Amino acid sequence: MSSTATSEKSVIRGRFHITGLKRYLLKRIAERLVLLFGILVFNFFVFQVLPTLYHINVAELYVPLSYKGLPRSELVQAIDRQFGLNLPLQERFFVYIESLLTFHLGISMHYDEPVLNLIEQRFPVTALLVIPSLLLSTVLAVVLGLYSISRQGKIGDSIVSFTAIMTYFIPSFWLGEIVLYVFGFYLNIFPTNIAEAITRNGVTLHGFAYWASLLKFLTLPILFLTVVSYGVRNILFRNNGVELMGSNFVNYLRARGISDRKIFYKHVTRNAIIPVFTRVGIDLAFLFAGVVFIEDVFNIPGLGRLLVSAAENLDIPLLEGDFYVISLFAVVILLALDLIYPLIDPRVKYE
Amino acid sequence: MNKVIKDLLSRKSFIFSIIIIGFFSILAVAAPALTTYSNPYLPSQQYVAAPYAVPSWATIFPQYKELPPDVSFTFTKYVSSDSSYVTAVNASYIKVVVPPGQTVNVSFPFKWNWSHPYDVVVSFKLLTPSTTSFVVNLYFNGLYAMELCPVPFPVEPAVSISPGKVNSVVFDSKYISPANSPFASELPLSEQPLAAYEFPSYALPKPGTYNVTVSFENTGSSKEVFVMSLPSYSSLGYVYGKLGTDDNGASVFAEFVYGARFDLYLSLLASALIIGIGLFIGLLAGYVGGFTDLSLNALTDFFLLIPGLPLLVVLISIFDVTGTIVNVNKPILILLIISLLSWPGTAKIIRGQTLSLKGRTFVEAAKALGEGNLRILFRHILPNLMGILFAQLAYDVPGVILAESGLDFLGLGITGFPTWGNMLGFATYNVSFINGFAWWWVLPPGIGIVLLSTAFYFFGSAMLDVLSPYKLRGE
Amino acid sequence: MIETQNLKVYFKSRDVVVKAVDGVNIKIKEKEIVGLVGESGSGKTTLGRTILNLQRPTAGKVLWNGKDVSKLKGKEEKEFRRQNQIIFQNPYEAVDIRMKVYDIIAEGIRVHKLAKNEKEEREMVMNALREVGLTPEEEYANSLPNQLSGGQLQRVAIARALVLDPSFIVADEPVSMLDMSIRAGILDIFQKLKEEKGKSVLMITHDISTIGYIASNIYVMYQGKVIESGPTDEVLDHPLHPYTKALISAVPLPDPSGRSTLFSTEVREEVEPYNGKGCRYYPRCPFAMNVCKEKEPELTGESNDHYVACFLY
Repeated sequence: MSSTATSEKSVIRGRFHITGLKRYLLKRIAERLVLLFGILVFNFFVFQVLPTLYHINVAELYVPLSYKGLPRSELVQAIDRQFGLNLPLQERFFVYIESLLTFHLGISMHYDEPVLNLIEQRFPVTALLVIPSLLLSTVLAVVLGLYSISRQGKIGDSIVSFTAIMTYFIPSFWLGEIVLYVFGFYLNIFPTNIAEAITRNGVTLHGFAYWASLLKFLTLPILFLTVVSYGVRNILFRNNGVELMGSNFVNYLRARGISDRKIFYKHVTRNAIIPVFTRVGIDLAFLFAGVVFIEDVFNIPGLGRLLVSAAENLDIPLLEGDFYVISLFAVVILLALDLIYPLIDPRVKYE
Repeated sequence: MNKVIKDLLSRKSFIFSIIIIGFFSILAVAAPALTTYSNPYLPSQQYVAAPYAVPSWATIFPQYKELPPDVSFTFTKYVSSDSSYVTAVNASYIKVVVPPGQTVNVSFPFKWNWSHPYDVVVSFKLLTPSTTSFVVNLYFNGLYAMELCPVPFPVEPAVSISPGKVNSVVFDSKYISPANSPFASELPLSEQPLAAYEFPSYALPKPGTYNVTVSFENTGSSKEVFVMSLPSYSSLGYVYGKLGTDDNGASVFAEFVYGARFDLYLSLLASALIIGIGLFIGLLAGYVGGFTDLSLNALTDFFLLIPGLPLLVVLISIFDVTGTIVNVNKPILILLIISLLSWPGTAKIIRGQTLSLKGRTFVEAAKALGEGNLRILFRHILPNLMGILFAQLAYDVPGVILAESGLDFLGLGITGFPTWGNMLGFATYNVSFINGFAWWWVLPPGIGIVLLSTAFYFFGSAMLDVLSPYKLRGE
Repeated sequence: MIETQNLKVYFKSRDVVVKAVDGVNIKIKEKEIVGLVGESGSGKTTLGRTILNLQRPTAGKVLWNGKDVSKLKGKEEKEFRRQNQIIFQNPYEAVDIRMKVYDIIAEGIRVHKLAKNEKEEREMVMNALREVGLTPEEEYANSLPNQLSGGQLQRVAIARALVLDPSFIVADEPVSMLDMSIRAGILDIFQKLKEEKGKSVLMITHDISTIGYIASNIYVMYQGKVIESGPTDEVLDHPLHPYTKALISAVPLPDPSGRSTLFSTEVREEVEPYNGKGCRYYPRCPFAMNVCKEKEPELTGESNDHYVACFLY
């Protein structure tokens, strides 16, 4: 491109500076809304259309096999009437979408409690598990990544990178059980029974004491989750760093006489860490989805465990509500990420 | 081609992956030859040894040294209180003559080299006189194990035998209770329920010489003649096979081998399916472009962005509910669902590659030569995607194995026959402070998953490096 | 035989519209080598690709023997492809490196079903290899592209085009990626093509000195527009447009008393960006006048088929 054309472009860039950012944000919000709508439609398809296709009365899915000794057919009819489940599909669609959007998620007949209540109880537990481990594993990934980059190609780098790759393939439910046995049962360092952990003398703890002892119970799972989840970010950071170290960008900095130390810690690290932040955001979005195994193994009453128990008991309203909240959370976090991303990586403004 | 193979063989990671994949493939193919238990989850194939039996090679560790293996033999020697009453009929039968009012004991000695076994089974055939005036007792080292009476309804804990017939006498310590064994009924009331578990430890507590004694008591007034076969002894031990046993005494090795068979089979099929879908969508999106690309890309993003594992759980459960009526085959259902949820990554990569290939000059050159779209796709684009396809095939395998194992682990997948996932599920479910840690059961499937996944990953990386033609010159 | 009429090709990327080709009229007659000169980014490659219907024009049309090439269908389209070929700038990129040289060349024969049997196909391939000077041809036919040098690969690419016996070839900077030492050899092939086989060639280049050797007519492009055209000798000896003068003066000649001293032209540093309506060259033009800022000059005839788009004339 000749210089005239380049300058022509830069004029336009200058003029549309704000517009570019605005357009990026609008586009992203639109994309996420479409995704949300897709999830709503998908839910409708799975929980309403699919059973109908198999000629199953949807209401039957919502009633457990036995409930307080009441006759099942009556229950099914009652639910039918209450939720309009015997309406034609096209009429049900809008009712369904509305109920999801307004969080009318129904009642879990297995737990005999509104689904929303159950989710509200479990949400903080899962958050207490995943957020600390997300922070810890990011720190671990960056620290080990810095080590790898500074010893690129040497044996230390190989060992660290290999270990990180291995974490992709270690089934967390397997290693978790081993860790639980060794540290919980055998060495008896960590509490293994949540019921014991959050009660004292048979009384459930409240307030600060409750959260403190819950955190103590969660220490082992948090550490474990940290170790099994740092790998992707570590490899991402390392590869970015290694690539940057060999790039002309670094060569120019060297040519300008900037010390290797400063190049490494200031320029390389700062640039290599951007994709890691993106990755952390994505991991955060899918966190609740990813801890199903950890919660199952360590017997933590969080959203993941709730999902599994809903599946085990074929508790459809709970399954539906839990899945919806987990995917909704992902969409919301992804959107939030889109909104703050321009602050982290200025390049998107010019994209 | 030679160059490619040479290049591959020069990579350590490739050699490693070939060895591992080869090992498990052989295991999978040769499974029927390696073990006789094709489905150790069937009750008929359980209790091949005691539950939680350790692998036989583990006896090199001191804590397992004393544990007994499965033992079974037929007694050949016997000792009696008065040899004139006991004579051999032939190699396997003896005749016992009991004068009126007397008791004749026949003892069968044997040597025991271990700590106690899981159970004790003694069986023999016995031809009884046609009167009812006799009692036959079975003693195990002085433990009053069994009392046999010739009346139809003897007083418990005696067991009836038919007079004047050949009776099959079986003493099985697993089934003793106060109703059929004097040993059990003589225990304190609190210990009686545990009699079946405790008998072996009372009978064969440590290495030594023991004997089984059959005592013939004639309560009548005339001489009685008994003919009995030399008894057989058998007991399940706490040491079994290559990988011990699970909580049902089923062979862990058989489970492992058939688990490997299923996992490999399923993951390769699923990967092929994933590649199929991914290739179709990716090629279509990348080559056709425009609105097709836009809509396919949106579809891909959608599947990429809904949380995978929860969706898997939801779908499996909903199909479980509906499937009870339409009767879908579970492994096929899992195969389809995993494939349908896993193609987006592959499709994205293939789309990107197609896009980049489509923009290359040689594709334009092909167009300039007058080649049609189909010819360009099949002669230029697809062959150049081969490396990526192979690599993706290998990359997708770990994902499928992990997803399937996860489902099985949670108990939502396959439970009817062994897979590595449900082995881990059952094994870890049984890990507790009481049962201890059955490492021979917990470790192999996990190590199998890790090794196989890593091997396929490295295999894929090597393939990608070597088979991507545009990497040859370091482009 | 090939003619473009007010051809426009615009590319849109987000907010920016790039006018790669902006109203170009050129004409290539039979048995003629035409040169197309311009700096990189001037739209000459896009023009070449559009002429061969590898790129859809935004407006205007390309006529091949009077027919619009973008509307060709079926048999006619195939015939158009056979008769009009292209040689690309980067020989490494232009061949599918998985295929043997034999298959690369035979590809066209197979597509157009030019050979009755395998023997005939083989003969055609070998002939083409000999024609471009790749002997022993058997050995070259069996080699893979990554075993060949850039020059050899470019010869393969030429052979691939020649095997179809085209009447017109677009050569898109065929020598710019090659070493100086082998450039002449490749250019000779084109010279021979015209003289011995009567083929027409559109030779695209940024190096005006290359064109002097072989082209009979020459078009100079700047920012998607033809700014000067005419017979090669006429344009090289009497360049009119300041940009053409600059191009010629930039050629390093072994003889310092040669042409370069005749029109020693300096190029201004750009002082202001292009305003979107005037002459595209005025920001760099040392002779820029007020009128240059206000409207674009039309291509007007001077003398002897010599055309120029400049208000100076």
